[in-house]
Amino acid sequence: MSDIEETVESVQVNEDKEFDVEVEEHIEDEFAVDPTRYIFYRDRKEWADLEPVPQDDGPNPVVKIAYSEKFSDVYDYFRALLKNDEKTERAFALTADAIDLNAANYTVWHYRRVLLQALSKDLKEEMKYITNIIEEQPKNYQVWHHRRMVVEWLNDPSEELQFIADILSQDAKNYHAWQHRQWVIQEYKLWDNELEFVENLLEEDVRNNSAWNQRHFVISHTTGFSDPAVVEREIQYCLNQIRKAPHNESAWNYLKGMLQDRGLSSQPGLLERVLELKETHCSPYLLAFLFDCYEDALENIAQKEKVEEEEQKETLRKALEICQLLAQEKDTIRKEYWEFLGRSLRNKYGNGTLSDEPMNIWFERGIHLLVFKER
Amino acid sequence: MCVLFVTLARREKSICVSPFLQLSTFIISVAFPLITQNVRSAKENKLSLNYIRPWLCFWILHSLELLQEPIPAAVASDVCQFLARCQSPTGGFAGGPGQHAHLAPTYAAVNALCIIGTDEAYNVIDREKLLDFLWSVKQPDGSFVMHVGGEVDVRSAYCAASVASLTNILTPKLFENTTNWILSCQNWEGGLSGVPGLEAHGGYTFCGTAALVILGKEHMLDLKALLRWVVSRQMRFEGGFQGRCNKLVDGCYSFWQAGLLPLLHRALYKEGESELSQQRWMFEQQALQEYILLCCQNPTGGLLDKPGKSRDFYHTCYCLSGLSIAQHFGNMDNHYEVILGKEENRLAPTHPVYNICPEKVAQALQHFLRMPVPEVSRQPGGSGEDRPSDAAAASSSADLQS
Repeated sequence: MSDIEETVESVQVNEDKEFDVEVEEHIEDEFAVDPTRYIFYRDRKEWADLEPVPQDDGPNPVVKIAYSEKFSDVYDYFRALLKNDEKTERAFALTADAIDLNAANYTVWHYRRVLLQALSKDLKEEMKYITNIIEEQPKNYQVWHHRRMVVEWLNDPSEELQFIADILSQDAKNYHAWQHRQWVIQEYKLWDNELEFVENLLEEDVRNNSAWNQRHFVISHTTGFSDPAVVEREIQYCLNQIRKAPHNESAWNYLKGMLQDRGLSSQPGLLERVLELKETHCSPYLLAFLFDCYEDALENIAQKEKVEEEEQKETLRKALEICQLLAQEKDTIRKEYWEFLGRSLRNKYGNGTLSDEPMNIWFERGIHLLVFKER
Repeated sequence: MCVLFVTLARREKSICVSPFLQLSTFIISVAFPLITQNVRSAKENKLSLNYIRPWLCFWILHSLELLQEPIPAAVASDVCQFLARCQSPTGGFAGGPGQHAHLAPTYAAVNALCIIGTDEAYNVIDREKLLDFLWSVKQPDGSFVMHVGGEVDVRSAYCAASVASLTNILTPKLFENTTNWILSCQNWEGGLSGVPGLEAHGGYTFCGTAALVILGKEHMLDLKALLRWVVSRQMRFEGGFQGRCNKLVDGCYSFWQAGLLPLLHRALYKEGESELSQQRWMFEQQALQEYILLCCQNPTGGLLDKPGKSRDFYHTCYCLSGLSIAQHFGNMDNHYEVILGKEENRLAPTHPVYNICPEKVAQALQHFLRMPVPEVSRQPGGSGEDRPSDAAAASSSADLQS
């Protein structure tokens, strides 16, 4: 999604004046020919054998794009190459021009890959090429996919971690970069230094949710989260980060995410540590975490043979108190949600009717709620 | 800067100008016929309009239908003919005439044609070839690549499920293992990532969830964890939604994120949840409307990401879609509205799975269900990526010149 957000810009006319082309004037001037000036493909002698293919938009095109002359020229010739299935050096060179004009054209990238194979091109050179393109346009799907293909063909990931680290240094949350990084690490088993890498990123920005995700990724694929020593270390890490930045949702989410499978109340002493933090480092996230602890406790109480009714009532009361606090005061943007959770909890663990909520009319009437029409 | 703007905007809330007349005029008379590409030096040029023209059709048509602006018949017909040229001879739709088919423009083209909803529109779609295309991008592990030789992520499953269900070419075999693959994208945060292992992200979460809804398997998600994640994405100050935890608000997430709440509401209801509200989605509807109306409008028409950004059709479509979600709760039988500002701010309701108007969904389903599901006994399309001896892919490049 990110490339759509980033790449779709406003509609503006801003013709590239550079190519309004005084080239015509200079063609006759043999003494002042500038070797670096751009020549349209239609004017290049070595392309004269190829008939350009204009884009077939049809007689009444919609969302017509006002291409520059340069763009049309390059792509008219690209279509010609495609039509003839030409697999030559000149075709390969043209794909670079086509990509330069529109790096999101997946048809061109695909063709370039075909040519890389057909012409047995130097893939190390291609790595340099794709490195430059990604540096310029790091939020494009096609460029990263292309790099992945080249790395696979070369079977050489040796530059990857450094390269991705460089891209991340420019935007530490680039989704494509992280995706490529995870692929490289998994494919080539490059786990060894990744936790350290993550910790450095979190040192720079403890709120970097991508880094927290990577932390979870590394640990779950290496030691796992079943080892109590690992869990304790991670809890300690989280609580330390929370002390430094109490309103950092990522740290709280990580803490919960790590423990939720086993149940939050399975971790002895955790509730107490969080209650202690509540005095000095309170936040809506801390309160939500407490709620989750109580909810988990209720779940466990319900499953025990000897149900301590007082204990259950008290836990329920505390949980509902937090719901109300969040809904009314501490996290009002999520009022609907916290109130729903409160009703849900009361319904499940309380004994009886919900006095302050209207009865669920749909059930009464037997109306099947369809949020939208079914088939 | 965004924060300052939001504060000022809130104070001036009484001045709630209706933007929409300007927007419709802009779209119909100016933008639709001709989109001028910013053609500065390629290095600065982040625009890639050339591969997303079916998207432009969808974004614009959907915006118009939300605004309840009729689409002139001539324009509708022109769109049909243009999209027909974007259809690949081997099935599916491409970003433009002569390009390879790709699931994203396929999704957009089918949606656009369903919005138009005429027989001419429906007839554009070659259902048999479309099914061939879907098989050609299907992977044995249940995922789909976006195009032959392309990348995998959860968007593709949504695009495939959306077009397959609307055009009645969906078979269980086509989506074998897809459910499990999508489920593996739900992560420790509760949301879904683009591929397993990555960060939870609004766009991908919407795609994965909506795909599962289409397949009837949304109950297999950890709905409670997903619900907690998505409601937490609403920004307590701005009122809009962020795409990922600890990132910035963006108007387009008004749909991708807020649009999850109707899906979850229904999913929870089906699971026997009795305490759901009968009047409100589980997000702050008013706050989202405030963000969109007060902070996401360009004074000359069109909507955007956040103050300071420029307008574009993508944001126009998804801000309006999100606004519609925020305005309408429920369905035909039980419908509550919350309209911020003037009556004329009311948009048409949108279907939370397909993001076209519900009537258009029903109409399309009705049309295509009369047709038999095409007979194709196929295996998944082989490797999703180019391989050195991928002769098929190589020669197909010659086929695609229309």
